[in-house]
Amino acid sequence: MIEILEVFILVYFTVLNTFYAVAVFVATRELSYHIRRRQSVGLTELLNREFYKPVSILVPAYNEEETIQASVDSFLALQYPEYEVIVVNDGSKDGTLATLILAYDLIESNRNASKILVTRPVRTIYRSRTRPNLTVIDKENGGKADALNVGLTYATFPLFCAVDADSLLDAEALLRLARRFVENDHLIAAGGSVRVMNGSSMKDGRISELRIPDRWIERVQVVEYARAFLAGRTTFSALGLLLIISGAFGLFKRSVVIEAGGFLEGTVGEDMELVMRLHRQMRDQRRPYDVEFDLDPVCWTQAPDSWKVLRSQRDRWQRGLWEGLIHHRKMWFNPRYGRIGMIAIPYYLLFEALSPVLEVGGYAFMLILGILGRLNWAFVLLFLLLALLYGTVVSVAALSIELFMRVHYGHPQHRLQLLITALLENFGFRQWHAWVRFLATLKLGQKKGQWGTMTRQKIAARK
Amino acid sequence: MLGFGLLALAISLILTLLILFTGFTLLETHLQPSRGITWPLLVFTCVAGGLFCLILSALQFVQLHLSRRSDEDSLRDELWWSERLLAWAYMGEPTSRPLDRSGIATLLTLRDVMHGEVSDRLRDLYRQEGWLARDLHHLNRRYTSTLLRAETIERLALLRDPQALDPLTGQLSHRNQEVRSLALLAIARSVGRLPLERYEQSTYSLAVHAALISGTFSVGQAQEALTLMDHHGLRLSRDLLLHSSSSLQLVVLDVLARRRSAELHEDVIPLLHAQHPELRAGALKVLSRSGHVPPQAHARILELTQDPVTFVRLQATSATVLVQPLPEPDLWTLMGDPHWWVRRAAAQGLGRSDAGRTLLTRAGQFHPDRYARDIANDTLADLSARAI
Repeated sequence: MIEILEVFILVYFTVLNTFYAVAVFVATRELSYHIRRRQSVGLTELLNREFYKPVSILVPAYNEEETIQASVDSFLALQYPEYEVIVVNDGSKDGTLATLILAYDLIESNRNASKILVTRPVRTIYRSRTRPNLTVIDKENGGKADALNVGLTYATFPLFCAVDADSLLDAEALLRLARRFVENDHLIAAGGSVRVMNGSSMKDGRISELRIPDRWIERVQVVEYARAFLAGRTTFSALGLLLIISGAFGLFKRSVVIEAGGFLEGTVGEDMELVMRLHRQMRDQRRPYDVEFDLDPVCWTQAPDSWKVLRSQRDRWQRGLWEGLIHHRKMWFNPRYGRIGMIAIPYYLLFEALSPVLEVGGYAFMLILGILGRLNWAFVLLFLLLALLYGTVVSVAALSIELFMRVHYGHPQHRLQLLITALLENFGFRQWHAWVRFLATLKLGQKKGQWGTMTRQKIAARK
Repeated sequence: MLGFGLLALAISLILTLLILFTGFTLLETHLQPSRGITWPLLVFTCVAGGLFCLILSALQFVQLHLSRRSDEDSLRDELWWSERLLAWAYMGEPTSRPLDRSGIATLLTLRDVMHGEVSDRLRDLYRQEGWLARDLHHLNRRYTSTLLRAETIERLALLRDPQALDPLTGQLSHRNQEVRSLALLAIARSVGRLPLERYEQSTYSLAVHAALISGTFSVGQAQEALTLMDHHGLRLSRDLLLHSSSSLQLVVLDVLARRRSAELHEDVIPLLHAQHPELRAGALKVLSRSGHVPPQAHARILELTQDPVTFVRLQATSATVLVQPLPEPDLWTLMGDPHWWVRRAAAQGLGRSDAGRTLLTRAGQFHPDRYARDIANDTLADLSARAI
């Protein structure tokens, strides 16, 4: 039995790291093309301004008093030809609604929407006297998915962009992402990179200078986001295996999402679940479709700056991942769903959802072998060193990719700090993260925390 | 630009092989513990992994330094070229050095924002310096890489040179989708902005027509091409309205509505009788967005306010408010429509004129439908708020 487990761990380690190495390969290839195309005169950017698809920006908000005005300002400052911003206040207990009413001179409006999706009751619709393209909807608390569904029913444009209330959207990012829908009739959803804005300087609702955050916990997340988005999702998209479009920044075809029933209520991972459902629906109906990720369109998010908040966020993410997978278990290893059923879902199942269980199990297994006196300590230490090195190489490679983004960490000292973080995250943080996700796995089925308990810092310009 | 991409590619490939190799070796030695290569292998892999990290990290700093210098250089070059090119365009002062890449980028930017003779002089400079010949050579050569081809087409789209139109037309049937799309947009943009002879216009419009009906372009790209052709695309739009599939008819209707154009109303009006509800709605939208509803369409528009399809009724209501004299009884009825958007369109339409506002006030009090009374009062309140 012990031997089987040992062999399993070795095989698992090899396959996982091979995927990471391949991810670096694919992401680099994509990036190389992307950079060279971007350096050209940019006809497509000019065209973006001449022909565009109007977009509804949906901003679900719950207890976002501190950040809501800065976020909405940034959305309203977008240099996009035609768009509307719909903020859905999901029964916040703080002053989110009052902040909005005061900031944008909101007045009640009696606009009704079709009952195309079943949602919690809407209390009041507001429109702004100063910003004609802003609508604020105040509704009873029902969770993020419910808030997004309300936004969907009130949206009037063919594309909608679901963003987090603590995020800042890059105007060019939206143009670039929306352009993909012009070029591809089959595209139903597209996601862009989400990057950490903590510590950066802001001007007029935009990142004016990207700077490294002061706290270690925030820096680790810079490395994590770079690894996940720049290496991981680029690879998944290039291989047609994309299962996640981040809730912080995704553009969807409204009609297809409504046809699929909107966001699923009662789940904590509504973004992943929706994308999986779209895959499932399109493949069940044998309709051609595409789901894509674009490396450089960027949305800036405020990452948690305390261990407590980070733990709560990762707990939600892990439960959301499992919920999405379990909800669509019919697709697991099912050839009817093509590469999604046979590769993407098994990958997420084995190497994402189960990874904390295996990692924590691996440490426990090592401990038992040690107690039984059957452990070759030197071998184990070298094996762990190997795992650490491979992990660091992938992180360093992802940071190398980051260097080629339009906005990147340009100060040598910042890069050095990031590289050191990429190395040090393996000692302590990685194990802590595995433990948090392991505990989250044990809590599967709990409905709590659909909005998390993010205690936000005010988004403000750094001096 | 440092060959970083290639290097990272090589590193990731080597890493993949290394991981597979270590995995298999560890597995093998695990099954056959007598073999003694585990230690040397692990040590070697650790050293190799560490080395990769160091190389990648060092390269980041080199790249950072190079890109900073390159940014500074390009900013300086751009300023220098802007001065020289403007002097050349306005005063005929020769540039003191041949156009380089930075000069090309600046020239194309200026060419795109400038008009008339001075802009044409920039185009002539591009020709004289041999860049046009080079671009056309790239396009005509069979084995030009996709990337270079795409970049060339983008340059030609900004240059808007009639000499490039034939080679660009040839790219419409290229095997690569991106090349085809860029060529279509480059032709459409050039035709829309160049003062071409009638014969030339027809030739390239026909090329775009053939490309669109081939079905190899997305709906968005077809709409974009017609939008870029502007009024030069009207003949093509008429042909597509009269003789193409309903999907292309919808594309044309969408573009006409977007342009708020009344020029093809005669060809649009027959589509009010189309079987396809989207075509009926599209035709109505063209009429209402243009702000002009021809008298011969009045009766049909009023009929369509009774259409069983909601979005057709909505567009018909929007068009009805433009009918003169205002058909008050029809709008009175439409304010009681089961669909909120239709009620709103009717009420807002009435709110545009004095007579309509009087009717709206009456509806707010005496309309038999409760929802009609609500929408009338809401619209009146809205109008008052706006007036304040």
